[in-house]
Amino acid sequence: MGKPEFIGKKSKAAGGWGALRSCGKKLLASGAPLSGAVTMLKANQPDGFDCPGCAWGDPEHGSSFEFCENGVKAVAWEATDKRVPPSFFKTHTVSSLRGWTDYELEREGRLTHPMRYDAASDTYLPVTWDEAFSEIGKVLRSLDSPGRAEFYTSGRASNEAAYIYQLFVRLYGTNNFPDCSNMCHEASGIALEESIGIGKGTVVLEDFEKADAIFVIGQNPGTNHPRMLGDLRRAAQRGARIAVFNPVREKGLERFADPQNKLEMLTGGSTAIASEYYQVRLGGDMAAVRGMAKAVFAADDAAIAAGKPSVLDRKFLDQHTSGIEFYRAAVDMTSWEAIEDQSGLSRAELEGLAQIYIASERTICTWAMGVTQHRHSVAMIREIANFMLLRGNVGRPGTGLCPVRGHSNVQGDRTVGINEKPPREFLDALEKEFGVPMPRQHGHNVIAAIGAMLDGSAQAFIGLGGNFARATPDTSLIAKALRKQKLTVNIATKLNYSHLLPGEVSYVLPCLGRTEIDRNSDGVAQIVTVEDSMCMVHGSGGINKPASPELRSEVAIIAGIAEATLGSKIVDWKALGHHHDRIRDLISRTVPGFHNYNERVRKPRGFRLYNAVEHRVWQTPSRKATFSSCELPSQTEHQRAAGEKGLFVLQTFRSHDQYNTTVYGLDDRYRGIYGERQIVFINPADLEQIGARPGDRVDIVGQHDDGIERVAKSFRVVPYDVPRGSVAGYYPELNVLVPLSSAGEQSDTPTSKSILVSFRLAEATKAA
Amino acid sequence: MTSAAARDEVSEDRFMQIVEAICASDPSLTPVSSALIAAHHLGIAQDSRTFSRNLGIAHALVLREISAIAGEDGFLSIVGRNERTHRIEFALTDKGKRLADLAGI
Repeated sequence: MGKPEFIGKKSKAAGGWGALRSCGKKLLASGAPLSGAVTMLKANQPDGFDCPGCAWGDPEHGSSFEFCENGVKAVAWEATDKRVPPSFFKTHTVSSLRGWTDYELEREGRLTHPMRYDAASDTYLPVTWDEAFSEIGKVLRSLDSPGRAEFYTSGRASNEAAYIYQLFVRLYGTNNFPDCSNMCHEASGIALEESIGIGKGTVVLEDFEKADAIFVIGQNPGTNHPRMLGDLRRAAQRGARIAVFNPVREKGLERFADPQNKLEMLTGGSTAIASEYYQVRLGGDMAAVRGMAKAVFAADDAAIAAGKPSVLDRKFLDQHTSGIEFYRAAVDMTSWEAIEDQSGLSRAELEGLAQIYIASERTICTWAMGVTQHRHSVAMIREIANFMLLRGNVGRPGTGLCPVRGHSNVQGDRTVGINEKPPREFLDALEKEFGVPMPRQHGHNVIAAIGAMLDGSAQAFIGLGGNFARATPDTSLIAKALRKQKLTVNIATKLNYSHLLPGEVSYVLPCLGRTEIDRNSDGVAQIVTVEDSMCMVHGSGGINKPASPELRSEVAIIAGIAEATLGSKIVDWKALGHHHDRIRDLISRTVPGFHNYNERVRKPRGFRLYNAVEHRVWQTPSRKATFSSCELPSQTEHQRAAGEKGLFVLQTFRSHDQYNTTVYGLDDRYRGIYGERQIVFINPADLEQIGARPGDRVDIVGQHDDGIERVAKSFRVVPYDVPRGSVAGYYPELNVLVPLSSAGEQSDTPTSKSILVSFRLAEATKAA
Repeated sequence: MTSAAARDEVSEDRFMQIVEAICASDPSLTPVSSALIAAHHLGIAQDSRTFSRNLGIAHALVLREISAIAGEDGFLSIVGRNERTHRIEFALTDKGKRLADLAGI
């Protein structure tokens, strides 16, 4: 493809760039830019495509174009004109490709044909869709129990794909649904369900416009949810206090230049976001929140003693909550020494933060993986909920609990049935709709699925998107587990490492991306729907031409596998695959909150799922919001490491050029890293202690006490502003150090933010 | 009018008139899409970043508009992509050129 000759003379535009920019303003003001997509695709495209970049909400009045740098990367990554056709595999064996990084694999471009692994040539060969479906169905039917198959879901899957998938799997006979939520916000779901009766957040975007204070805990929105920074920035500009707890000093969170604000971008200006930034120790967030609660109780005691009004929302506490007396007792029993040691923050700092909380009439608390990926993450999130309940900061405008999800539909997938422990009511509704019994026994989450694959009880793995082997802990163990399967099937847009671990029978099935037009055989464009972190459900229709005529939608692929496995006696899979409205009709009848789904999702911005907490209705056993009264962990990994020379606690996180396991580029510009990912960030004093100099290479050695040797080799040390004893680096490269056997209590979430490690100088450094 | 002449004479008002004429010729086009066609034909911008910078429209918005009107049956063809910067270079298809002619550029 030749580069076009540039015929223009830029300076010839009369009036110069200023005038052109004036034109740009007029163009934007003259109509919604998205209307092009809407017009092209008529009513089927109510809102263009949902940005696959993250799960942050869309603004009420803004344009859906408010997507960020990372959204652009996600869209461009999918819209590449590079292809991985069958001929690619003629020159690359699967074994040789295992030596490539995922960045290199995905950079090769989009998969174009359904492929089957051929062991004789150690490569993938093209097959027809019918051949693929037929053999997959045959292998699934041959297993002696449905429980021997594991059905993984990535959070990118749409509501329609997820629903038809769970229907297929449950009719097949199992609840084995390991999904990416198991590795991220599982703890949030469990904790919030116990505290307030719903396993989701309680805020909408408009709440951010009203909040007086926002506590951001264990989260780096600059890289992971950049559009959230816009809301934080606007809050900061109108004077809201924004308190951040993060062990790593993240520049993107301290100051932010909004890409939507042209003036800022042009002048290089930026807005200070965090008014308070506290570098809490890894695993110390619960202690920090407990410290603030202790100070709030003390302030309340003082107010009452002085004859002043209580600083607690007594009316709310009396009417809507239970268990505060036990919580108060637990707080009283927790010493300031324990709080300071575990959190790394001083009593004075925490008392200062408590004053911000007390002064705020409306408070929001957000959190993400920095909170959920610890052993005690459920207790930690319950502590956050306790703290927010004290002043009635749940269930009224400008307040709320806000777990910020990563994948764009991870919340929606759970809502429509991707759940290894499905609610009884949901199974009842499915049975009523389809007239057949549904499996009632709980299935496997990620950890259990891996265990079953390793011990041989699982024999088939179907992956609806994602990169299972890279996303999960103990990467090398997972690789072995996948290789032992009778069947592996990966539905994907691009090649990744998990596809290079074939079982006896192995398929890679290429699907349409979110940005691509999905037309059925009648030529009617289909939309899918997704649910964001604020429980908003909205439509998404692609606008790009598919990367290959052979591609099928995820829905059509699942329908094909389902029909080949189960036949069409109970469900007309072809009809569902043909028209997504029919799937939405089924969802309407079997999932609460989706009435008139097809109609409501075609309205601008879609609709919000009913959230009882908004009305201060608590669907807990006591019918009240419930305080927990957990003790702080007796010892966090950070405290343990502090007592042993040479021991550190590692957290894994994303770079700025990364979306979960997808690596768009090798830069991490907010942290000043360019062209490399084998990096470990370390406090300068700790760097000296391990006998290394900036830029040296080290091997990172896992210190989990299960007898398994885990080493991440040759990582470059970078001095950084992190607390002493804490180190950080990128996943998935460092997932080799995350022990499968170390998981969150109740949640089974990998403890990727609390990994005990030590360092040794790499051979290259020693030699130098 | 030749494109060279148009470049020399284009003013803010003239540019907007051309955009409106393109919009009127094909109502399925948005103003920004029409501006992309006009800008290419007038030699103002032939890639997404330049268009974004010169017209002060966020690059993300420009990418979406290009995606919406590019393709075999579209008004633009994508002739290059830069993976690092996400810059898209584009050209007018025959359909795009006809539209520009219709609009009297």
